[in-house]
Amino acid sequence: MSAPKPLLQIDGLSVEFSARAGSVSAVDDISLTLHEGEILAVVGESGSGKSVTALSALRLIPDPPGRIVAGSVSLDGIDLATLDEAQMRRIRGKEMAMIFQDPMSSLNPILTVGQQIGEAISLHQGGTKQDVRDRILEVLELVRIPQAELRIDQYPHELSGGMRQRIMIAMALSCNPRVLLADEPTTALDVTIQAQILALLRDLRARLGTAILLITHDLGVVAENADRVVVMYGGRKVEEGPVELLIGAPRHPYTRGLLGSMPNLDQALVPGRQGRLTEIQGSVPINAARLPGCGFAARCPFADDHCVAVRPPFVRVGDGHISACWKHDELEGIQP
Amino acid sequence: MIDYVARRTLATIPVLLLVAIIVFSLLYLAPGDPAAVLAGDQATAEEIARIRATLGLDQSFLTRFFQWGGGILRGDLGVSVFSGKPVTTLIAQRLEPTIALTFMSLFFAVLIALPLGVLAAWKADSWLDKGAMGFAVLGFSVPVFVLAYCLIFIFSVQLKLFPIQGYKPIAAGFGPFLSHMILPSFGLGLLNAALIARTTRAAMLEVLRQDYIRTAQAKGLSTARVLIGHALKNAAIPIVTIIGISFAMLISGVVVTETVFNIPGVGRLVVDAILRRDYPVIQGVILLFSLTYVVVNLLVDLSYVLLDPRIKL
Repeated sequence: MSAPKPLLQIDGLSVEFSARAGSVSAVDDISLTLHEGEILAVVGESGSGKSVTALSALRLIPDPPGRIVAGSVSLDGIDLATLDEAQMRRIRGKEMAMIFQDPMSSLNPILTVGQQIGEAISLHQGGTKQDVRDRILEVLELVRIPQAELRIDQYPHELSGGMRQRIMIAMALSCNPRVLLADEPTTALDVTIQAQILALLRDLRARLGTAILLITHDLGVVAENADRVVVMYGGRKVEEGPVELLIGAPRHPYTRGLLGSMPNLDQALVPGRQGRLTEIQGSVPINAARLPGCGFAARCPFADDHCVAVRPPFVRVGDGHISACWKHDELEGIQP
Repeated sequence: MIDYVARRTLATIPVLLLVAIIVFSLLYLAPGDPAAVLAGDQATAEEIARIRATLGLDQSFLTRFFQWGGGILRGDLGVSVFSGKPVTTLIAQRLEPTIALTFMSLFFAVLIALPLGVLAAWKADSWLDKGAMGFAVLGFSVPVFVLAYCLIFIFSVQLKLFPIQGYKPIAAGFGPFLSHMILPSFGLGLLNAALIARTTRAAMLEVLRQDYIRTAQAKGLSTARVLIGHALKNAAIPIVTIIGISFAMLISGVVVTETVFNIPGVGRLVVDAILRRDYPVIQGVILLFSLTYVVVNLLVDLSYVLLDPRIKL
């Protein structure tokens, strides 16, 4: 089997937002590669820059106040910065589509499901009214919407939360994009619906070969769905690796902290182990990326003066597994 | 829906009744005597008293109110004290220029305000936004007659593009009608545009922050389609509401504009009637204006159903 081809490449991306008291670095020097047919998870707390990264890929950062200050995004080898706005619009929705966190607020309340999905289809693929309608019904069935003929003429408020997110996914898939940016697609949904939506995404990847950038704060979601993981903290990437390595043997204290704050059913059954969840002390500092040292040092149980003073470089710690931590050696072999 | 319209229509009756009582009482209490005006400067007290008697002005307040009110229910607004013609006839004669002026002003107002408000919101805080909102402040502050005389001076006196004053009915040809109507309706429309533009901007700003706007952009839609197809449609309810309100404001603007441009409309009719203490005409016109306002309000409320599928009546 040949190595999977890189499809979406983000290289050294930095995004700033201007605020009254100066600029805030939302994303700093992020690089990641999404390969064909891959599910790459981007994990981090709120404010770690996950959504900004995805929106930057589509060049949808509201400007002002946001601004891409460095780095490049390329899709299938084409640098998106070289495209004008009209060419960029042909990428959006057609080559690269996005689904958002809250399907209620992300769907237009006064347009029918059919109108909202059909809009993208007639824009990117054209065709007669009937062609468009047929295609809408096709994608509604693809995302397993029952009674598609009925749903197509309904409004978002007439649908359940899970159904709305399926509509969002149908809308994103309507033009067969090669890349799907899924920004916390299950956060606003209850647990059983969450599982259904994630199963749907995996299934679509398998059937259509769509590469998915799955943004989430939930490592449980990551473990079950992703091939590889990028962990972000305070606008920077801190660890990246295949899902088994990263979850099984994390080499960054932040990733360990995230895993420790996740309930684990097995844990309680192991005698001699504490049944308590551990939490990460404090919260993400503003402009963590601008600190001279490691952005996580202030909250890190392993940190020393060196961590605060000097920013750790990325070190290869395993097969395809890198970590930006001075203490990555100390973490080796310690169970999270 | 039909049920709602029926209920709302019934609800207008007490509103109009209240307006009728207020208008009637105000004029009853107002100083000045139509009989004295009619009789002229040289009249004796006996002559005035005789005129008062023929007009029924010597009757009690309640008797006069019920006579007048009873007439209204039969579609009779009474007879003009001054000309002796039925008020309904007088209003009917003057209706065409007023309707034309109102709707053309509204047309100009919306035509100017919507693009201005949408662009101002889209480019919020830019020079375009500041310019548009500066214009809006100006529109609030400049009285109709000041702007009207400025327009007359520039376009009629200096450039000689339009007639200075007057009115030609549509029956006399569409060209002359239009050339007489453009300046008055543009002037009146411009001032009303200010309010509509400000509201449009505010409503659009609110909508442009919504997540579904980002969804629309992520679909690859052009800015124009996002602004008009997604944002403006969602901002429509406050905009339509303010258009309804400015319709009411137009009615008072119409009175001034008709006077400045010497247009023989309902506005002029009521101004003349006030000067002559022609109570039945004043009462009739105010009642007509109130009825119009109530109907416009009802139409605005009904339009919500069309604008937002979540609203059920």
